[in-house]
Amino acid sequence: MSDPTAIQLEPASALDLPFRNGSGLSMVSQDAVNYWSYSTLEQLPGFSTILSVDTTGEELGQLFAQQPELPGVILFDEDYFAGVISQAHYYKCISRAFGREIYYRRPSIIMLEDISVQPLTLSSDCTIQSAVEQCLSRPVDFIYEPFLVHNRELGRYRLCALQVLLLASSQVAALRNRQMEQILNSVTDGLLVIDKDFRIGAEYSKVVGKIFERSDLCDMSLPEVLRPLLDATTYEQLHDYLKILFDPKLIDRLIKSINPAKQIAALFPSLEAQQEKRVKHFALNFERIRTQAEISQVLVRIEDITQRMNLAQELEQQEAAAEEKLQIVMQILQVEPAVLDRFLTRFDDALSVIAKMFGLPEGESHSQDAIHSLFRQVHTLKGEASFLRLSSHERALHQLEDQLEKLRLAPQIAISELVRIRSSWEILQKLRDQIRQSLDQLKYLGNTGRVNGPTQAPSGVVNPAGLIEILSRLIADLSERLGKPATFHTNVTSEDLPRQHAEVLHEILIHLARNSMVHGIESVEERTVRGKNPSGLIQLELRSHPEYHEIIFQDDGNGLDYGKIRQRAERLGWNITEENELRHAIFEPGFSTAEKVTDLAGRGVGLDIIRTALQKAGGQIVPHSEQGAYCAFQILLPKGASPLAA
Amino acid sequence: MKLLIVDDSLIVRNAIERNVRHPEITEVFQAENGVTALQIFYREQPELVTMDLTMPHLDGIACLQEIQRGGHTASILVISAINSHRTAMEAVARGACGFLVKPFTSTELIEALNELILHAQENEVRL
Repeated sequence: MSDPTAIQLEPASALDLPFRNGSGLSMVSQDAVNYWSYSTLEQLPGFSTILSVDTTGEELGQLFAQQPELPGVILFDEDYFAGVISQAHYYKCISRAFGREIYYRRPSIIMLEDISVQPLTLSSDCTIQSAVEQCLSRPVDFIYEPFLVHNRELGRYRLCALQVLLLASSQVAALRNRQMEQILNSVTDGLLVIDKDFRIGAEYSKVVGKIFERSDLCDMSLPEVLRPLLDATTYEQLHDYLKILFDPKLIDRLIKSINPAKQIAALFPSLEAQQEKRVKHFALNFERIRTQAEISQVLVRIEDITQRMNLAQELEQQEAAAEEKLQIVMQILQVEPAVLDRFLTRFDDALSVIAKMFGLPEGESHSQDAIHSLFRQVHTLKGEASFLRLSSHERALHQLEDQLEKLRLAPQIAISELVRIRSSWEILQKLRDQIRQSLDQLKYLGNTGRVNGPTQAPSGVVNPAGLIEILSRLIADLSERLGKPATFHTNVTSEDLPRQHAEVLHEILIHLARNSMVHGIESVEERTVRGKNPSGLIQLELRSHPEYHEIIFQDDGNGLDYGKIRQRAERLGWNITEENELRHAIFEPGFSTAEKVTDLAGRGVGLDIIRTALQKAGGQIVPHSEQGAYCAFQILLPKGASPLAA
Repeated sequence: MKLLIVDDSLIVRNAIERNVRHPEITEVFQAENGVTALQIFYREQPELVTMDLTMPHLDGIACLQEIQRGGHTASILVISAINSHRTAMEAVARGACGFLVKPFTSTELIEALNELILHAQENEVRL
């Protein structure tokens, strides 16, 4: 910034020389100056004492005696700059042998004779920092000499002392340190610098200490600080990455993609003994600092992204909940209002049974029968939730079913099981409220739509069309979920069904349809091997007779496997040999041949529920089957109040 | 400058070649496996290489090792779906000077290639 050629000064006439031939002094008090980081020499106090070359040594001596703080004077010969005589140089001349005799009576210009070097002249816009560097790089003999500051705009020269400059420089440095400290204390990012040995430098932001929960980071190795917080693999990857960061041949921007610490989880010791460890999520970014061809340091930016991660998780959950709600609304719109109402009523029933059973005072227990009955209730509800496609309800019910199953098998009920059942119950209650809420909202939206829909038959009777639609949806749904193609044919010549029959039938047919899809219809491969149509066929016939309704439900699947039924019966200790009896064994409680329990079927409930329900309605069910070919159920329901004869 | 694109997928190779529009690049070569890559590398002495890591007949790491052993100073960009951090680190040890993780967008690819060219130019000046 300074111009070394500025030594060739302009003629003095071009300058403003207010103190010419005088002892004029222009000085700003050192205390008054407030430097900032990039202060220039303009702010540095100096003296513009300009004298004529004719001024005698004695006069100069008097001036210096009066103003000991004066670094020196600027000499002009008429309008031409002649040179600078510093106080130090003056006293050096005078103190020589015969100094007074030589210099006192003569023009002071002769004191310049033995100065071979022109005074250092710096431009007034030169920074303090750069001025220090230039002053200190003068020849050793001249280092302590004052220097000239030239303001080109004003055409003014000032003479400044080195110690004033050094003082200013140290003030600037202190200010910069303070600013750096303030920045490091106030930035919300964790900033630190590591050297080639991964050691953390003294200057790191306050947040770093907060993030790592320690204040002794200076000089610590960054990997050592991280090691106890990370799992072994992450630690090793990070360590490897730090090593390659200092490899200068790698391209800065092209190694960011393999930074293993873009998002890492750190485990901190718990604050209280019993608590779990605390997890914090960090994002580490690395900027390499190049000095010539080497990577001297790496700036590490650490962000605590725990909150962001948690928020993202929460948001996800909220979105899932909203999605769920939407799904419920969509389903409600598609479902027969009567069906939904019944589902909700039974849902409520089950919930209150649970509340009664598991809200008992301690010490009292409940019978296995009660648990079994509840279990069936829940199982049926799950089936209904499945065809209503209320998948969150289905999931929650499946979970509850699992828990009840454990209770059914274990004679002693563990407290932990009860707690789990309680939480399942709470979840279910929430789901129930959700559906009620959605329903209310829909009702509020207007008395249009299907909530008060026109498909509802006159009171007392139900049109089977709704039931058929539900079955067809259930079969299509299961077909997709199980990967078994199937078609559903109906042949309905029946009039409306009485309401109570419709409900029983509804329940029965749903169980049968599930059984057919899960157990009856074989996989495409199996069917192909057997020479059957790859797509399964399920048929439903509704016929009306004078005395009764006849319903035939049939699938062209595997049929009843008498071998398996016999085995199962034997294992259960039932002594059956007759094929006709075997057919009926499948209606016994606790009977199921499915190999694994899924949420679709196979818990040993189902067919027994059907028979019980039918018997209550005064009806009958008769199975027909040929192994490997078909399975059909003939259901009879009385038209009158009296039960059909068995 | 010559560029050698090494990748066993024709789609990826063409995707890279399509995005090479830098005036510095005068010739582009393609290799679908490590053996062919080395043959072309020795014959053409390209300054720039993009290297896949998982390839039949001599994988990327072995290829890098061979090039490194010959004392060549090509600027090599590894373009790979890095499923193992170890492999990535090994590639660096074997002389790769950058990474582009698959899948990449064409902007990412162009930027990466520009960086690579810049690096190769600096390399030339130093030599």
